[in-house]
Amino acid sequence: MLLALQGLVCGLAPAMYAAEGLAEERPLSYGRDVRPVLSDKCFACHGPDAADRQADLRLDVPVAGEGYIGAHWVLEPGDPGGSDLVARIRSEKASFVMPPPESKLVLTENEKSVLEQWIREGAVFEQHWSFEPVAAVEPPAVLDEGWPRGPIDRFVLSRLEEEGLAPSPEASRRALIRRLALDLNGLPPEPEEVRAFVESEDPAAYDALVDRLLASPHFGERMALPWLDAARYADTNGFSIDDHRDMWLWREWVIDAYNRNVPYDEFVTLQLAGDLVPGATDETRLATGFLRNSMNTHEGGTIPEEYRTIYIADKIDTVSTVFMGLTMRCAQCHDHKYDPLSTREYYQMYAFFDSAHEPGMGAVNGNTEPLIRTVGPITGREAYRADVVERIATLRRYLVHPPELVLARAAWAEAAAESAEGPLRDALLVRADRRTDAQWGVINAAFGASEPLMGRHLAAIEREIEVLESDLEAGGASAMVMEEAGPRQTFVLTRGQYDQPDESQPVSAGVPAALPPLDAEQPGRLELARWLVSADHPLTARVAVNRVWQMLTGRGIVATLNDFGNQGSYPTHPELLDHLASRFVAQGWDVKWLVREIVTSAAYRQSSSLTPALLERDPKNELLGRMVRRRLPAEFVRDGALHAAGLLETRVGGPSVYPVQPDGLWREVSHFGYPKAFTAQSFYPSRGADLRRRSLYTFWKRTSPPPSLAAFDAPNREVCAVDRAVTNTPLQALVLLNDPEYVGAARALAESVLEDEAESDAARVRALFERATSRPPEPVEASVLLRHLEAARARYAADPDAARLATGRASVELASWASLATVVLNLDEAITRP
Amino acid sequence: MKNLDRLRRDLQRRQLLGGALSGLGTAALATLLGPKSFGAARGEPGSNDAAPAPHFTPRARRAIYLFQSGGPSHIDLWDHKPHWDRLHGQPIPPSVLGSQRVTGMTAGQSQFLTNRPIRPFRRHGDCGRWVSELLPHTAGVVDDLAVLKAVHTEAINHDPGITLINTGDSQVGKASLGAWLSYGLGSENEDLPAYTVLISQGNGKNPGQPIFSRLWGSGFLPSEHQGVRLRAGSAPVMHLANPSGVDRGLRREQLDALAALNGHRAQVTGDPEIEARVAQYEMAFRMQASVPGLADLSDEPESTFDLYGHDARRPGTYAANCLMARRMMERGVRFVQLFHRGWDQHTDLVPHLSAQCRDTDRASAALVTDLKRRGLLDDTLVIWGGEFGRTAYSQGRLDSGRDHHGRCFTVWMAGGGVKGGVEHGVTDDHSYNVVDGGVHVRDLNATILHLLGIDHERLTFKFQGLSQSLTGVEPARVVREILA
Repeated sequence: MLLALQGLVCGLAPAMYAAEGLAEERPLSYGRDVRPVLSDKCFACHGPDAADRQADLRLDVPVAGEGYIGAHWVLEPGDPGGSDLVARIRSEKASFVMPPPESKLVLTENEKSVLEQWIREGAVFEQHWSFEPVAAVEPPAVLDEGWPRGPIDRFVLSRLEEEGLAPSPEASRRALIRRLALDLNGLPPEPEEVRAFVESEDPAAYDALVDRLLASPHFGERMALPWLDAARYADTNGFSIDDHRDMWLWREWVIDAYNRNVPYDEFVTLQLAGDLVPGATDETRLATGFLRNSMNTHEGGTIPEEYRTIYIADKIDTVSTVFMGLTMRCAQCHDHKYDPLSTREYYQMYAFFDSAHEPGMGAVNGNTEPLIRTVGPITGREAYRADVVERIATLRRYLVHPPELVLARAAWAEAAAESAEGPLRDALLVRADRRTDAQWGVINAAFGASEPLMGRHLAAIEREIEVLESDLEAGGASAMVMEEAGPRQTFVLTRGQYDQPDESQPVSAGVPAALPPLDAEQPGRLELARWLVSADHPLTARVAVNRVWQMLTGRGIVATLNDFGNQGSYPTHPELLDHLASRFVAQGWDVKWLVREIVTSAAYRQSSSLTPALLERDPKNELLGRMVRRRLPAEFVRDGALHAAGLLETRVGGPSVYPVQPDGLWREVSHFGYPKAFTAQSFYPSRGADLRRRSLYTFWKRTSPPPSLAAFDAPNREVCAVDRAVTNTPLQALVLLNDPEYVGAARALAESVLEDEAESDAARVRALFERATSRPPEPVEASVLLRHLEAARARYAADPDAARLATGRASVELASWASLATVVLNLDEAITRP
Repeated sequence: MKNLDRLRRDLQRRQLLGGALSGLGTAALATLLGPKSFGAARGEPGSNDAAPAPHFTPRARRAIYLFQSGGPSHIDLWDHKPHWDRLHGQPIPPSVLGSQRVTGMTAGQSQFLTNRPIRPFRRHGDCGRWVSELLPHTAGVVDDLAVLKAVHTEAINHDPGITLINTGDSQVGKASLGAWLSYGLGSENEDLPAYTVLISQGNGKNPGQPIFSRLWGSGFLPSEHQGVRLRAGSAPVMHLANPSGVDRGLRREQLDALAALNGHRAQVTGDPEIEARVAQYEMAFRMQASVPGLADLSDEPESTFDLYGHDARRPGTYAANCLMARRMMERGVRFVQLFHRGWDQHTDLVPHLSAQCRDTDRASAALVTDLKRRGLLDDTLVIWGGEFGRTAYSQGRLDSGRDHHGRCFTVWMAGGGVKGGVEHGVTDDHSYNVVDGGVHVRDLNATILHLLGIDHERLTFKFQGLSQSLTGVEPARVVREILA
């Protein structure tokens, strides 16, 4: 099969099909082939936006309506030659050709042919596919009945067979368990688990593994990660001063909801309207933190209403993107250029959030009302108190020893000892490790006189402690939530300006006309939520299913996760998307069902090995004739290294933590040093186990995100992000090679294999390699590693000081193994889902 | 996509050469993968296949943006009016104030009294430009500067203002100017990023207003295009230095082992992304060798410090960052952006503005002079400016301070493709409104792109269904009046 394909590839340069498709001779589809061209090149002037419409002509509808003529005015179905549209797009006269040169839009030859073919075939219009109701599609017949394990596979295989292709063979059991563990828990499997799974001959072992991973508390953490991106979760307010906020309780709610397998319709409803559901509790209110994750400001000159508008716009942006895959923001200032969303409809959506209570001027050093004080669904009151007490103790140590200044102070003390007098002299004469806090206080005061950072740090740390203590006194952590303020008349804002309400255009809460109607007298957020998850909503289930599909396969059925509108990609497998969406709803929006359905398919279980022919034929894997290797998300890269080293602290939930990052990153950009001392302006690392927690608990400062996560494409969490780029840069190499966290992980990994003194080098190499990659090294790989070990030993034996510097001990062995561990933790495979 | 195509091409080429993957040394791999690229995107966000830029012959090949964060006072530094003394202490007439909004900080003020510049102006250069005594060194290079005196923005506060001028939109989420340049033009060297950022804090207002990573962020562009923040000191790139006890020799051995193992895996899996990663490690290794040299000023003659001032010896100062910027221009970095904080003189106008000027004036001018002497100014663009200007009226009592003012402010440009010794734009008698030659911040950005060979309407990236661009949907105009 592959050989035949290769011949084909060498013999023929595959012609690129119109928009995105791959087949060369499939019948034209309006939605897939024609509308994308019209949308991208024509709708800006001949589309839904009335304000910028030229010649009163719409090309997004066939016939005329009020104030406009339709596309059939300029084309003759069946007769491209007789169609004005073709004359215009084929014209060589600058004053006549469409699109006009000044638009800088150019139709390719292919696109022109598509339009002509479409007209020849009758110029049939269809509604945009994603606004059509979800169809309960039955799986198609396939030739190879032996391959499918379930309905998904029939859709995938039928398409492959249409293209004359066969699926890839099943991945090895080692690859499968690693893939599953990383995809479902975000953590690699333990070597013993891998061995047991590889050796098991139980045909039910795979399903049992899936069940176990779905039942793990790490499943909720894994699922929460993309949700935190989408919900723009962060631990600071974002604008201007960017001081701290407390939303970790909401994060914990998300993790717990995934673990309890809260049905997606309820998951959505609670996050949009948990304050309004019948019998609302603190827990349901906590869910609405989703909407309060908007950035906010308390910058001095702020006009509160301007920012209240910005917070609402952010909510619309997030809700429309996350739940519907619609880019509603465009309609904030003008009718949408491509999709049937008018400015009026935007403000109908706006009205759902306009009636909520949310001050434009945010609070300082913490949460802005409305807020609740409550306990987390995972972290109870006592555990929370213990966390805060621990953090305060850490900060109190920093009052004595500000972390950034310890070296500078030591140098100063040495110099000062010569000339000091009185109590300072007494204090300096005591050995550093025997000084009392009082003696340090004397030293700090004197040191602070010459080092301005000292006083600033003390003020900043005092502020952090004060805020934590006030939380303790208040009896618990708080979280921002939604709360209605009472009815408010919403107007269309002219060009989106907060201070230009168009009083001739009052609007009430409502949904776009292109979507199913919302039947309610005076709908509010609760009705909005219920409408979103109603069975006939065409978008919600499709968008949700698509996101999970992308998380597990590396590519959405609709590649543009954030855009299901006219400018978005056409689905590679529209019937599969509908099949999954309709069954997802029929299964009661059961998220674990959906994940299980996908990961137990034969399609998911395919090998990710590539051949040049496959790469050539289907570079983006649109046909799903293989699985793809994917570099892990930033958080799982770090978690994986800590896990391999045996360092990872796997506690689930709790307040955010502060793993080490380079000194000064925050204060160089922040308001650190301002006399009033805001929170989160300077970074104070955690101590102990909190340095080794999973990365989704890392404190997220929006204006200076954790650098080693940002290097691996984590978004900055300022706005909703439903997809991450996967880049590959030298800065990533520097992180994995040199970041102290990774250096520490390499050393710990080396120590762990050295524990058993009887082991041979070969056995240790094998154990170490397995911890990072979930497989033993091939002989050729083992020999490369053993050679490296010898080289490192030779170097460290010749330079024992280097070994001491590397490990803190005079151990050539440990230093050499740490070097080897660095190599292994840096393998592409170590940070990749197979 | 572009990278994927390239990788596929490489893969085919390798087959033609008949070489197995593991048969290639790492250096060869790096070459195959394109030494002129810093980082490689793997994602395929939308159909962004078109080779972005340049669209025409650029006038400047690289640029330095001396960003003055906080809003430098155009009244006190650049926008000379002959009649300030007469107006001093007089209320600004309502006809001048108009109905436009002011910030919450002075909106409640009962009167808006004109505050003349805190120091006198004099004419300088062959062009006879009026410049404040606060900028004696910059005054010496005015014949090289094009001074835009009627730049304007809608923003009245720092966060929206600085976000708008750096990313083209006051709403967060867009890509920064530098990220667009990296995306559009790529890198010209193999061991430094295309876009670097240097931060300094002035003595004027300390701490200055916060700045944000979004100002040099990539927004919706692949994150490899985000500005790389350089730190003061000998290892300016984060995690550049090897850990203790690992020298360059051992590091080389580690990378060789890594390349062998990754190469083997690439052969087994057929995944070209692994080879791309090998190339990135080689690039990191080269950076480790070259970047410390970038920051090591010991090769600079004494005359350099005479020019930039002795602050340039202190890592992390504005002067040191200006010198670093020049050194990066010499090494082919596409875009260097300095953020100097502390220009927010609501109070303490006289001492704080004077201090800001002392921190920056000499080095800014030195940079222009230095680039010129080295023949680099012809194809290096230098931009100086902040997110807005300041009010002609005093905030509180006279000479105390000035509030934010976005309706007109001054920005200067020099070098690649810019006429020297010109000014453009006229403001009214109170330096409060634009009279003529207004330049919106998107016109400013369109002009910067133009000088670098980019048509601002054609450098686009599809995101959320729109062809996003730096200048947004409103029309933007290249300020042709200042083009050489």
